Amino acid sequence: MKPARITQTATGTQGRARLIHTDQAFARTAAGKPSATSIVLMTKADTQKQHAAIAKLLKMCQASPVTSASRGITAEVRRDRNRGHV
Amino acid sequence: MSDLVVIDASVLLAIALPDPQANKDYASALLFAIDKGDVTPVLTQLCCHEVAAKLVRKVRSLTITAVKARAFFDLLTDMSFQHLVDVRDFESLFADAMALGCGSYDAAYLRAALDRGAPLATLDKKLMPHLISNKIQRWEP
Repeated sequence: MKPARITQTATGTQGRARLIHTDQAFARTAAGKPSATSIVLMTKADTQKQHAAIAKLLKMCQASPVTSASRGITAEVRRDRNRGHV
Repeated sequence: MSDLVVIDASVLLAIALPDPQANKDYASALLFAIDKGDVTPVLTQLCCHEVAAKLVRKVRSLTITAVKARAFFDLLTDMSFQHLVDVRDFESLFADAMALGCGSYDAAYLRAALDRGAPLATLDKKLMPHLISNKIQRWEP
């Protein structure tokens, strides 16, 4: 089934990126009926602001400490998922 | 042409928190690709919850400051994302995780990638076998 395509402005976030409803995803149920699985929203940020934000995120990434794999945040994320995010 | 890429929380968290150099290089490469316009990042609700939950714990355990956490969120707010709002019921979530052969949290990322026809950017090695078995590509720089 072709996803519905709707463009509609939703809430603003502190006058910056805004959520726009753009799409929906569907899956077929066991009975073969299409059933919505998700609604797709889009935040559209200013290109210059995004460029500046990415530059700062790259600096943040380089500035945060480097660890061994077992002590890193990625290993923590996996442990949390295995425990059910306690 | 910008390609959709579903982002795993591990990639965003590797920007702000300690992780191996290879993971930081992967996260940096994804940021460069977004900046070039090659990639449109896709976020799931689960990703946002995982990132927020982890930073709450890191701030409470004094690993990072609340100021740094807020600065991180402010920078993410200045980026364009596609957001997937999952509207499935309990039974659908259960059935999907069973069908995909993984846990429910992992299935949320796999379903997002399958529905959008997009690769998944992840640093979580335990997710890789599930990507292969469900014919989902891992995003590579």
